[in-house]
Amino acid sequence: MSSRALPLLFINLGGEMLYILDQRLRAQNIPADKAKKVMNDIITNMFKQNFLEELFKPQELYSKKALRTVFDRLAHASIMRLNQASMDKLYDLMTMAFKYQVLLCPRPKDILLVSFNHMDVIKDFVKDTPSILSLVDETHLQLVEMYTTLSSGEFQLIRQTLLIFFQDMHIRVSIFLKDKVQNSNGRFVLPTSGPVPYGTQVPGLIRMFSCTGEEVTRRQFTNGGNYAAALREGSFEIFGDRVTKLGTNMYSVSRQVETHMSGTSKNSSQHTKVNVAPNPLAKEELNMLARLMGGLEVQTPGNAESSFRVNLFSTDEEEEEALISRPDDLLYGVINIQATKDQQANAELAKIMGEFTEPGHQSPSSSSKGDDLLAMMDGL
Amino acid sequence: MSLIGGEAVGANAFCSLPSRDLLVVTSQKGIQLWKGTVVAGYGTGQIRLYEAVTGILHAEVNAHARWIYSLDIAPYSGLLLSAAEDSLVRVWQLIMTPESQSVEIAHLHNECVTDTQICGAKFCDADGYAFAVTGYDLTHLPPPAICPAACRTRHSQPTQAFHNPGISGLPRQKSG
Repeated sequence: MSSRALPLLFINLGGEMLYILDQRLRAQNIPADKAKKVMNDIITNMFKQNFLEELFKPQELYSKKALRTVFDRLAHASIMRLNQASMDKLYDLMTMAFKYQVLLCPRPKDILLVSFNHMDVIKDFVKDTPSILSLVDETHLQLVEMYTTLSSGEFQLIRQTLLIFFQDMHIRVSIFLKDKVQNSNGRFVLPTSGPVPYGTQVPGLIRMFSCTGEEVTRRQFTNGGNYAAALREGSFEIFGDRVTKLGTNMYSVSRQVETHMSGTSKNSSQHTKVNVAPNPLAKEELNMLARLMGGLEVQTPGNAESSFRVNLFSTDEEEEEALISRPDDLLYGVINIQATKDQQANAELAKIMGEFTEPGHQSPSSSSKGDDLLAMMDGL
Repeated sequence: MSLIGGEAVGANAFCSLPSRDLLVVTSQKGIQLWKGTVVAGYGTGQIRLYEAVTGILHAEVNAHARWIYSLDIAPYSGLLLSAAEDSLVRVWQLIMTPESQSVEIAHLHNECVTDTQICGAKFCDADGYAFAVTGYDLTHLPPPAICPAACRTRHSQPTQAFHNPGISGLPRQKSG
C-alpha cells in the first residue's frame, strides 16, 4: 500500500469538514466574528508546521478510529462545541464526500486536482488573515513538491489505498441521493457517459499494424456507453483552473444535508466488521496520536461567554434521536479526550492535558506519551 | 528488453522479455501472453498487442474509458477478456494469421457491471465458456456469466444459443 496517502486523506477530509462547518455556521446564524474565529482556529491547527511535518512522513494510513480521533480534536480546537451525534454526522458526511470524489476521479492523478480544489477554497476562507494564509500556501507548495512528479502508477496505488480505507462505507447522503450520484443502497453511480479522462481516448477504435509499423486496418466497435472526448487538463500549479468539479464546495446555506444509515439494523444478517467496544488503541498508534496532537492548540474550554454549540441536525430533538438510534456497526468507538471540570479530580488526565500546548504555555517533555495515554484509557 | 514500464499497468506489475520463453510477472493481471504475443492493458484504457520477441506493435485498441484492471485469455479459443474501472467487461477474439505472422483482434461482446469498478475478471475455463468478475465494494461475488453465442462461433458449434444472464446476483441499480 502507498506510504504517501495520508496527507491527501487528511487535507481532503479536512476540507470537507470546513465546507460543512461553514454551511452550518451560516445556517445557524452564528455571529460573523465568532464564525470566523472558529474557521480560523481550525484551519490554523490543520496547517500547523509540526503537525503537518508528522503527517507528511512516509507512513501507512491511520486506522479509522485514530483518524476520527484526530478530527474530533480538530473540530474542538476552537470555541465551537459539537455533541456526539453531530460529530458523528459531520464525520459521516466528510468521509462519504471524499469517498465519492476518490471513486469518481477519472484518472488517479486527478486526486491531486481534487486536493487542490479543497486547498483553493481553504485559502479563500482565510484570505483576510495573511498569517494563516501563508501557512496554507506553504502546505500547498509542499503538496506540489511531493506529488506532482509521481507517476500514474504511484497515484493509482494511492487511490487504491484510499479506496480500501473507505471500503464498505455506504451511508446515504441526501445531497448525493437528490443529485442522483448515489443509489438508495448507498453505492455511488458510475456513469458510462461523459468525457473520458485526460490522456484516454474514447473507446471504439481498433488499429492494426504491419511489421513495418504502417497502419493496415481500422475497425470500430460499439462501446456500450455515451462517451465524449476528454476535457483539457486541470492545472497542477499553485494557482490555476482545476477543471474538475470534484472537491469544490457543494454545500450552500439552504441545502440541509441529511444522512441515512444504510439498512444495517441490529437485526440485519449482513454484518460488516464491527468494532463496537471502546478498545484502547494499540500503543504504537497512541504514541503516534500523541505526537500528532501534541502540536494542536487547545482552547481552554471554560470560556462560557464565547463558546457555543453547533448542531448538524435541524433540531435538538433530532440530534438526540440520532445518537440513540445509531446502528451498532456504525459506532466509531472514539474515546473522547476532553478536559472537563473534573480536571482537578483526575490527576492522570490533568497530566495528559498538560502535554498539549495551550496558548501561552510551554508543553513539558514527557518520556512515553503512549504509556500515559494508555493508562488514561484504562482509567476511563 | 522491457516493453511495458511499471507505471503503465500499475506500480507492482512489470513485464520483461528475454527470449521466446516469456516470463511474465504481474500482480495486477494487466499482461497476458498468447502464442508469442504479449497482450497488455494500460491505465489509459488501451489494449496493445506486441509480438513478444521483437516488440513490434501489432494492434492498438481504445478499449476502455478507465484504467484496465484485468486481462485474461482462454488459451484454447483465443478469447480475451478485459475489465476496467469503467464498470465494463469486454470479450475479444485474438486471431493468429500464420501467413502474415501477425495477430489481429476483433471485438465480440460487452457486459456492464452497473456501478462497479471491476478489479478482477477471469474466464472460468480454458475455452472461455464462462467468466467471473469481482469489484470494489462488492459484498458478494456475482455468479459467473456465460459467454453469449457470438463468442463461441469461432471454435466450437453449440447446439443451442445460450442465454446470457448477465452478471446476475448483482442488483441492477436504477440511477434515476
